[in-house]
Amino acid sequence: MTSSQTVPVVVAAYAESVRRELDDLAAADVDDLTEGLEADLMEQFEDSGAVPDLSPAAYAAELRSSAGLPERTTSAAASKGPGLRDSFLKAGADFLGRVRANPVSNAVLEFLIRLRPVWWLLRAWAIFQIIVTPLYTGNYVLIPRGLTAWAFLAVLVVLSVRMGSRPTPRRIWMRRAFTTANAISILFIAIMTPAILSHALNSSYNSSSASYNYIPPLSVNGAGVDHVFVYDKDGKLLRDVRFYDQDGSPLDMPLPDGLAAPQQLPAAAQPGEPFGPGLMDPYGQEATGTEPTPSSPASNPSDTESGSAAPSSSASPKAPTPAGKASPAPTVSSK
Amino acid sequence: MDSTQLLKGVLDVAVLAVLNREDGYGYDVVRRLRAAGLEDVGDASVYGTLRRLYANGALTSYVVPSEGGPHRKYYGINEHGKSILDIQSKGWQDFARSMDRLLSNEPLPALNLPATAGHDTLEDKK
Repeated sequence: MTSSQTVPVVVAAYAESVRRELDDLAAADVDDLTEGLEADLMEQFEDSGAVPDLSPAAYAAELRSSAGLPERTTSAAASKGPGLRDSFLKAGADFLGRVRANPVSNAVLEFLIRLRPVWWLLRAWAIFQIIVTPLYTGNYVLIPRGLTAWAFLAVLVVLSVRMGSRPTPRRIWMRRAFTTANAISILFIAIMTPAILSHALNSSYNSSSASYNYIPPLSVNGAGVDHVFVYDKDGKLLRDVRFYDQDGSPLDMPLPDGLAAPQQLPAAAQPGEPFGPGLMDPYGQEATGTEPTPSSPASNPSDTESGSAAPSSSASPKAPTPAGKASPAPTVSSK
Repeated sequence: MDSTQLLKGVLDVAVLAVLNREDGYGYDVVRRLRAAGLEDVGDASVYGTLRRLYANGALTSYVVPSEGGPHRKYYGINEHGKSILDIQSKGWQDFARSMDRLLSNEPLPALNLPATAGHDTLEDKK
């Protein structure tokens, strides 16, 4: 084999099963007996393209007998005390044996084994939630926020993948630590995921409903108005104008959070008072280049003749509008 | 004839003989045994034998790490192992000679058992 290769999944699974068949022995004996097992199985795998014909249980039995170690018997398990753990492990081993014996369930199992990388990612995510969330917001979030959090998650992913793709550690305490980490991750995912998912779905629903149910701040005859463009009697677009309501309060477009606030004017500013930027769209951007061209501003000479030449604070309702509709703007001031 | 039964009796000396030539790791020993003609040798049997010989003090052991793959556990024979190999080699040669003779058509040598009290044998009556 070449040194850069990692252990194929089937080989790692086979070695793991063999170890499980030996787990009634002292930890030192198991380590002694199975140290280098992956390397040997892997080389054999490369030679023959398969793991040994023997079942992991038979393989483990052959290892034991040739090594002069006691056979696995119920009495051996009983001598350690017929604890819950032993019967649980035995039930697990029996179940695995039945799964392996059936070609269909064995194929399913092999498929699941191939899906292990997905589990490695989930595990990293779970550990991330367990470690990071209490340190910061206290709220579990589906996806990390911020560069540091992403970097930390990336480190955890690398560690988790490494932990999964490397051979089972030789030391039994390391194997137990890994098992514990796995168990905690599974528990966390089983218990917390529904809550995190529903929280994430709710907040995304809220934010989407907020953006999709946008209500224009102005309306005319029940129809929403996003932009108001003001033209003088000559059809010239007026910039830097501001609307006030009947109480003298400026009609400010409500801006989304975090965007530039409208210029500060006293609430009861007098019309004609100078102010800063011109037309603003609802997002706080100056609306230039978006104004419509009046259909034919100069083609309405009657307006020009009859209208007051000087724009004043009491603007005539006859002032031309782009669409030709008289829009009774409360007050128009111009510079 | 089922050679696996025969192998069980001689696996220790076979493994010692392989390692006496050169150190090796588990599957390497298996491969050399098979190359020598013991095709039916089971790999788990060899690994278990290596472990037992090591536990009995006949072998040394060291782990050789590899960059990307799993570690390999190498075994080598020590002085105790060599003395065991000597003894077992002689035992095997005697055994094999006897079997050869038995299976050939050569006349078997006359038995020359010492007289034993309480045993009514032909020898006793001579």
